[in-house]
Amino acid sequence: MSAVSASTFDAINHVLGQNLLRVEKPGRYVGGEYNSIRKDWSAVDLKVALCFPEVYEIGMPNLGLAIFYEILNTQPDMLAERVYLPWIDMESIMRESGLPLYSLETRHPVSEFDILAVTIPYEQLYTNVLQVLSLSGLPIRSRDRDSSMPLVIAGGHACTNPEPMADFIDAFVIGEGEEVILEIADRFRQLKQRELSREDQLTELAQIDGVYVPRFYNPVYKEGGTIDYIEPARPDLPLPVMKRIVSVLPPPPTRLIVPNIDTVHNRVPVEIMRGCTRGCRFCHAGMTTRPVRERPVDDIVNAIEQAIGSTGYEEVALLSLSSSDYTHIVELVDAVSAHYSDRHLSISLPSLRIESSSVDLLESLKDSKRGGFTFAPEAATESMLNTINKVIPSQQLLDVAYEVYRRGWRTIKLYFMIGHPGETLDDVRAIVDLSKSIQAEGRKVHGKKANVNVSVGTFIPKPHTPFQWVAMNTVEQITEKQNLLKRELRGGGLRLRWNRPEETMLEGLLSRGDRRLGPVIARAWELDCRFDAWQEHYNHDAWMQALSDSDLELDFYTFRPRPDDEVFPWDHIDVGVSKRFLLRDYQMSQRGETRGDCRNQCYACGILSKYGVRLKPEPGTWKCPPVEK
Amino acid sequence: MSANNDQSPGDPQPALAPQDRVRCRIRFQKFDTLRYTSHLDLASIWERTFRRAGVQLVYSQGFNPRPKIHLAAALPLGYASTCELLDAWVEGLLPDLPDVKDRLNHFAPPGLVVDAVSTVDLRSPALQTLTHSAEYEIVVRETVDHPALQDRIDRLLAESTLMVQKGKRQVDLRPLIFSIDIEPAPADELRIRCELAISQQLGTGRPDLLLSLLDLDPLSADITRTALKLADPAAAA
Repeated sequence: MSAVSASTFDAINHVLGQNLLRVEKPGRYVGGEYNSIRKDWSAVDLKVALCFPEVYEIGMPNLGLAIFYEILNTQPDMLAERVYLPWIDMESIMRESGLPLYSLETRHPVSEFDILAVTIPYEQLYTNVLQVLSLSGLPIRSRDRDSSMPLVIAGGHACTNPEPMADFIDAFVIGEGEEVILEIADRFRQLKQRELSREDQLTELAQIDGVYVPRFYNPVYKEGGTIDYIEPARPDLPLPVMKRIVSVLPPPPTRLIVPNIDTVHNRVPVEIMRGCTRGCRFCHAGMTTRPVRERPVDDIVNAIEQAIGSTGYEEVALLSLSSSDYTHIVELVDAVSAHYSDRHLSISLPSLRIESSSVDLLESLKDSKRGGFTFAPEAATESMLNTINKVIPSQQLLDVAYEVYRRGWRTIKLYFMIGHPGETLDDVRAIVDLSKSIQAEGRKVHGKKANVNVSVGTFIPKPHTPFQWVAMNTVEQITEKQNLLKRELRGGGLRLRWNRPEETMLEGLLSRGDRRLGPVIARAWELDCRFDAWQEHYNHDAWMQALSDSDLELDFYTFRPRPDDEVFPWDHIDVGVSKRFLLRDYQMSQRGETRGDCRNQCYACGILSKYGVRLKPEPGTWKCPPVEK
Repeated sequence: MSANNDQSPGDPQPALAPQDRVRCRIRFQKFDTLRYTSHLDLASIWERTFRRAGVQLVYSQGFNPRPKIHLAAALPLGYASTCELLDAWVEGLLPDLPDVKDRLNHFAPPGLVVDAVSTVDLRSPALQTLTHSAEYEIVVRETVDHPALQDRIDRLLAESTLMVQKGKRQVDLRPLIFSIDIEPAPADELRIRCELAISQQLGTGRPDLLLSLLDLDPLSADITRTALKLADPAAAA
């Protein structure tokens, strides 16, 4: 790294002025967006840098950071500004000219903030997080940072197994951040006054519910590399660390920042419901975001109205894990289409169930015909559907597909996965047959113009799910299955998409990784791994070298079936659903047994006994049925 | 022709008759961080600014309706401008123009300022066909010997053709250059003012190509478009 440092406001601006036209998409690095908030630094006590560790146009639309931005900036004595990861062209200019990573709002170096809060929704961002720390001029390891440097906290879906990133992050937030972010900010502001060491600051922060400070927990390994037990450094530390939830969903953010350049989603996102009752056994979000909480229809309609007024966006996305399960979905769609059908707005409603009422819903939202109609059957044979607990009869799928085509859509998008536990080549071949049968329904209406786009992902066992014990498919198995699909899923109007098996391996490795992967991630980053989610940047060989440099093997993490009684690296993190429930569900799947939607009946997953008393569902919204043992 | 002719069947909202819309000509500045927003992205910024301001734009018909907004001349990425022109078709009869201007300014992002709003005849020719030339002010950020530069400029202007590479093809820049002058400026600064063609007949002269011909670095120069001249000056906002 360069010895020169351009860290004052004028120096940063000078370097930018000289170089912005030499990089791709300079609009990524300048801020100045409508609704972005610039506060006076001398007038606030606590400054938080909110970071999505990817390039601007991917990170900018993230709803989580938008929520924290609004919550923190609403506090008169705090400020929050945004930080994204520069693309490789900008990175080299920053390193050459000594330009530190800076916030977009007031162009302050990250190192001058009190807290750096990073969201890590998926595992391929791990090396990017190290890159953020390094470009900020901070040591990458938590142990090497002191209280003169920002406190580095992280949250997001990937943090339900924080262990692979334990070396780098000072404190993790487990679960939902809306309340705990302010508790951390408030406590840290007090701690700052007291001239404490970082260790002492963290001791205090570890007392906050939902905060996990990894340096205070030591995994003790068995011979062979699995975990014997996890030992807290002191008896007063929580074990397990319980995730945080909000009892009622707070109003969604509406003063959203409107970017000046194109991003991956240019729209108002409104979360209509959190959590899911379906119990698909592969689904990490479905297990870890329980319980279900719905927003009332009026709140959603008001939020849309406000957000359109304050942003001018032309698109609204109604977000949830399973829109069809929202109790008042018909009323919601009616209310939204009544308000907006003649205002040149497009309303999207993803994650619809495969049933004819979904076609009615999308049709009443009018211009949704622009996109295709998307369904996610995930598997194509009865035995696989039973295994994953997502049962939709093929005939129902075909009937709904016919209805979609009949009402004017020409393209249906299908999401499948390969690599489910116990899957055979016949199960994979059934994906081909089903996709072709669906196209045949379309041809009854549109002839040769009926399209089916098939995306085939690869199943990755995730922590805190019934499949956390399962062995992943090997690269050879995945390749054989993909080859079958590439060979047979051909023809006019059929399109197939798949992922490179090597990239899937990285996600498999990191998802169920332990703390020993810390040095592996650091080594991979030293070997120039970053932007691992970008196909052209993923360097599988470097990752494999990093593993072998630490004397670890990929197979141990990915292809090894876990015995029922194995202690997992994430067992001291409690997301509410009990391990006993997950194991029972896994055993049911091995017997081909399914479990119903827990909307209708409680299966005692553990959420209600741990969080039930705190839940206060709003009138008219759904609540869990009573627990049954 | 009725506006209903191109309407998709089953659309419950009848389109307004053509006389219920107004074509507004807007003169605006683009500067600061918005310099790094491309011509294409600027159209979205305008659409969202109009929606926030509550000024209803006219949209095209069909499955993918687009607002009817025409920009006069693309401003290259990184340039500022004090003189951009935009035509926007607005729903309704004779809007209160000072009010439209105030509202747009209130809801515009930093770096976008509306200086004038007027109306033009709905049938008048497209803005892109009306432009003649543009003036640019270029602040050179590198150390340059003043007389030597003047000498290079004089030699350029004496040439009858100036072939330069523009993308994949060669173009003659000479007929696109109307003037180049070194401006009086503070001692540590060098300013060049030039007028280059932007017209359908001659083509578009880009200041960065001119700077390259003068052996100056176009990527570190500070370029502002200061005037956009129309063939018929009366048409300007």
